[in-house]
Amino acid sequence: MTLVEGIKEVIKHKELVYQLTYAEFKSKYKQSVLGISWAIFQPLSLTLIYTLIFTLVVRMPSNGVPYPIFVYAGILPWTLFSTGVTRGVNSIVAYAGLVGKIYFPREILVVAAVLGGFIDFMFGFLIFILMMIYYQVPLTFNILYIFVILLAMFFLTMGISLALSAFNVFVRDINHVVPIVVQIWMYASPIIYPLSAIPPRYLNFYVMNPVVGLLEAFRNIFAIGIAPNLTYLGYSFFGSIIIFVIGYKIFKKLETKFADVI
Amino acid sequence: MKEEPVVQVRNLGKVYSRKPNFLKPSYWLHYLSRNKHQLMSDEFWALKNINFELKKGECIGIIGKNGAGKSTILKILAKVTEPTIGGYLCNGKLGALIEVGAGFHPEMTGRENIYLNGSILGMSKQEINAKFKSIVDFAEMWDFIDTPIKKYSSGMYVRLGFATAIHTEPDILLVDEILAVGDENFRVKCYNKIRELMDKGVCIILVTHQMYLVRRYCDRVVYLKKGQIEFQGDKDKAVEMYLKENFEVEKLKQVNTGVEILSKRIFDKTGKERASFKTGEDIFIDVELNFPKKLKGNMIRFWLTRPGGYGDIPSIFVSEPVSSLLGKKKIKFKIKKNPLCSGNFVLGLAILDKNSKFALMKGDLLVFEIIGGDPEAIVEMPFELEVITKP
Repeated sequence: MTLVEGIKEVIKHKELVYQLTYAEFKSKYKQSVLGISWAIFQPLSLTLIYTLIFTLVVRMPSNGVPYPIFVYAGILPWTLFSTGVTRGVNSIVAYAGLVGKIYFPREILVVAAVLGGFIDFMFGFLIFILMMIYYQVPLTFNILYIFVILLAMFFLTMGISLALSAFNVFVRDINHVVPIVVQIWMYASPIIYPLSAIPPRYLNFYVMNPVVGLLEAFRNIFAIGIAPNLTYLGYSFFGSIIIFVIGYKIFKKLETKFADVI
Repeated sequence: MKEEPVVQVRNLGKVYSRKPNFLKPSYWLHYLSRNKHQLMSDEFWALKNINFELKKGECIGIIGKNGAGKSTILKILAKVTEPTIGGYLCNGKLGALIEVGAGFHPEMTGRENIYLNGSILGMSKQEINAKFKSIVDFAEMWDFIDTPIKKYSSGMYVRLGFATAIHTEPDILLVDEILAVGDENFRVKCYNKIRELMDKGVCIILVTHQMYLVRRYCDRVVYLKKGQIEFQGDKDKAVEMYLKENFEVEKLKQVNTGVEILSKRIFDKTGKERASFKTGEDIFIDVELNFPKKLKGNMIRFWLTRPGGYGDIPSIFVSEPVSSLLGKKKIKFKIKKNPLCSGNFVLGLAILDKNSKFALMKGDLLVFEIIGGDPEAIVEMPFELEVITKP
């Protein structure tokens, strides 16, 4: 099955995508007093911690933007990526009962997990808007780049999640390794510090991280109000698509063995 | 017009691994160094050379012991797993009653789960909307439809799962042993629904251990043994073969006591030997046995079944404790005013020792026929029925 046919198959099952995303979302916040507030609590608490450290303890350059806005503009898209990957990796194994018994395109489980991250992102984004109003950050038309960024983010998260979730069926260690890698990855991305803090001679190496172009673009268009660096964004965009295609191929290759191993 | 088969299975084979050890380098060394047609040491054929086909409206039964590969066939047809070799064709929409409710989410309500499970089974939102009422009616679940499913009893769970799955309007329906659950009323409802689908021309592949289901629904039977087709064709013959083997398993539980049956006789009140009785007549049975060793604390058991149904269809039995048995003994058994209904009956005799092991087990001691009474029933019971108008 080619990639296009595969995507068509998923679109054919769009009701299932919706139902599973909804089920994930509902069960995650069910029976908790604060409910959906937890979706914004994580990025907010991180913002608070980093703001305290990097404004009171050490001073971190923030491109002339109030540090809370600066760091939140990094944490928000990063959380989208990291929750998507962390949940995505576990998505196939979490539905082992289903995978071993009923046929449906298995990648839908990954799509639903990644979309769950996007829903959390939307709630976090509402807070972001409130913060921007509070700090009186002006909006520009550059924010329209958000669609490109989110699309790339989706492909990137999907690609990594597809490959890792498939590996995780065979070797469950992946599930334990991912949170650690994600943690390290976070510090290798321009979240608490600006891209300009990277020494120029390491820059070419640094931007090989596909998240860099996306996070930088997100921060530029919202917090700073300038156009993103199109080279970096373009690089991340196509990098994301390549990662998606590779991840998809790996997933499809391993998928046939899921039911026997899971 | 030549009828095209709806399901066609050709040379299907599936290799399973007992314990795949991907993590050991030796596994990969072996994997790379072996001949392509050679199995790994931990691999075995769960299915081999499976061939069968189904025409429109046919029902095929798949029987066999646990681990014979019955469910693996269904899993392959349901696209859950892939065959190692061979292939199959399904011309039509496939529906599966395999582990109904597998897609249920415990935190969600019955209503939400119908949508979730329905969409897993490939229904669109419009389809589910249109059938929602019918699904809930079938499951008789209106009272609990907005209750989270984790609060459901297992029976409710199955009812909702079955109701959702049966509403997918399949052309081919895979049924795996699910009818063993649920209460009697619901089971009857499920049978009727399956019968209704068969009348509409839906093909059914039924995997079961219940031989009376095979007899009642199937046109043909595939009898699997260790992953291969042992027999395919006439259902009565297949069931007989299957039962015979199971029966032999039963024999293993026997204690070797050397008890033998010397003679057996079935006769009426005049002492005349007969093989056919009317409902309501007395039936007399004499059995002469020899006990070479002394047996203590025994139980003598007689039971009646319809033919071919050792233990798989409902039976009526009577047991009587007896003290020690040694040497030649004659058991006189009398069925007073037999309440049996038309048809053949098989009389079985067992002698159980004090540990409930079979000192003797003869499932087909005698066969006789009854005339009179409803052939669909087994016994007639005496009863009174009144309708009283309240003053």
